[in-house]
Amino acid sequence: MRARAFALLVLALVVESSVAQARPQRIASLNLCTDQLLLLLVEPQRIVSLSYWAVRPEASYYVDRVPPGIQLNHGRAEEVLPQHPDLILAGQFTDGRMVEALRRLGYPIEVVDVPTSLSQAEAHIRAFGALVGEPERAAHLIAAMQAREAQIRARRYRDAPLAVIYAANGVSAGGGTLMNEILDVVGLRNLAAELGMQGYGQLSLESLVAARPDMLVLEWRSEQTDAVAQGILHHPAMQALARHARRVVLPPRLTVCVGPMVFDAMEQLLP
Amino acid sequence: MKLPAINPLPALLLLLLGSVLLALHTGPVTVNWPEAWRAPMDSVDGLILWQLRLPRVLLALAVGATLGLAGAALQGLLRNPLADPALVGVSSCAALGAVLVLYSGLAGAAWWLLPAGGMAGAALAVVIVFLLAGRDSSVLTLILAGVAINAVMSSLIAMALNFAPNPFALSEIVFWLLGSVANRSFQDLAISLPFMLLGWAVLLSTGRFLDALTLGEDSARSLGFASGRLRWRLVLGVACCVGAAISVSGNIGFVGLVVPHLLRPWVGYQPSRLLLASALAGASLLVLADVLAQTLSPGQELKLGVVTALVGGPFFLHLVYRTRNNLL
Repeated sequence: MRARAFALLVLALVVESSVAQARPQRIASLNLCTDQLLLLLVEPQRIVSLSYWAVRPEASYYVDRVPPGIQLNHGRAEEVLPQHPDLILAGQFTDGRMVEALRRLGYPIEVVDVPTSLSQAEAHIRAFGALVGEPERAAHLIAAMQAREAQIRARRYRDAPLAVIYAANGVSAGGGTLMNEILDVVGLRNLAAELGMQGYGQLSLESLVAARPDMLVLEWRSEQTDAVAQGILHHPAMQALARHARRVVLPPRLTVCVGPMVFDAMEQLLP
Repeated sequence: MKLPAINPLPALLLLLLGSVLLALHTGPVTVNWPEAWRAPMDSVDGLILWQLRLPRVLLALAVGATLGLAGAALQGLLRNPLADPALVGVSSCAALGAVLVLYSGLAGAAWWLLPAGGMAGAALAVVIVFLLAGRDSSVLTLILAGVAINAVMSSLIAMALNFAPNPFALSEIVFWLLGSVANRSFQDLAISLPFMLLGWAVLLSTGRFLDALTLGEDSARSLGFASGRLRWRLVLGVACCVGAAISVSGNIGFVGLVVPHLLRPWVGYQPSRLLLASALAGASLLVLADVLAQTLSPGQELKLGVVTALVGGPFFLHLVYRTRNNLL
């Protein structure tokens, strides 16, 4: 009887320590999107470093959740190694040579496939939750996102107005992009996709004017209006267009990463 | 090569008119012209023709005229066939001046500050070139000075843009180094044209002095020209129009090199007659280059400097080949 109790105790200790091992306690993130998911799913004490984008309000949605005084990195491993991280999170676009070098040296680096569309979000958040040892919180987040999407779909446009996404340098988003999905959920047609654009590309101001869209979705970085790239958004032709179309300005922090913030973008586009 | 002394100006004017009409027809959308005439402000066709294409074409025209004219003036002033605003570093210095004004946020304070930045940069570069390679310099000195100025200015532009709080640094660097008139509006024309016109007037007024300079500095002086003052007038004229042009279009190369060379035989090798002819031909060349920039790669437009370098680079090599005896 006592021996059994002892065995159970040992078993419990082993299980607990293995769970503790599966829950990294010193997590470093090199990518804005993994930064934001970390801030959503993990207690701040378990984060030792975030990318410097995490504190930039134009790009990061969770600036106010960033623990004060946390080390900010510039996507370089040598910055975070002195923090002795037990998990380093990189995105698929992080410098592959650096990731390889760290792997060879035996550091716990994980390349996270940061999703570029809503359809990948569920699987991604679930896998991320398992990676950082927070599967339940991840499941909650997924459920909350699904509920919000259903709410928004119930309020979507019925007559499919034509929208166009336009950003600095005349860049628009065509088929296969997160922005295209956002328009689709809200019930808007995407001009760039209808003109055959796949992914991101340039859309000439002429084609835009000629198509007479009902809605202009501008990506605006208000703090950098002096750049030449922004000139296209100030062009008189854009202003003439805006007289006949609804104009919505989306700050980039809503659509840089896939997460709950994309529903805020959708809310702004709803009728 | 001796050509009959005909007046090339009517032909050049016709060429310019044709280029402008062609450019107004160029674009991703087919414009309904009667509709654009009927409702210039309210129709889509009117908007495309008058607000998108016309300012773009006019800007290409003005910048091209500036570069052609400035090339002819610099070649006359330095008595050097390879003087060209871009090649000797005036354009890149002007671009740096404009970059500093634009990205420090100063440009919003007053409309003339952006062209003023360009003009200050251009003036600095002309003075440097003039001091380094002014009197009786060899072609080699001038070109090497240009290489050095261009290298420093390009890296300063890249550096300034990297420091600017600007997520578009890369595309902005490309704009300032290769130039473009895409998506420009009448506002860009309005802030730069007054200074370009002023520079043109100054340069066109120096024709007779440039003629006299072909005989040498001393002969010019003995003919009664106040050569010191007139040289400064030329320097300021070049700085004024090139600086203003570059501050809205970015650095566009080779126009000022190619155009005067092609025209020189047609004006009887006379610098004064070369000036106006180079302005007209430079304007046509840049308007046509912009048509090519739009049609060679629809969707993702080429930068203007890519097209002019594609034409001008081989021409430059040809010139180097022809003048290589002078270089050594």
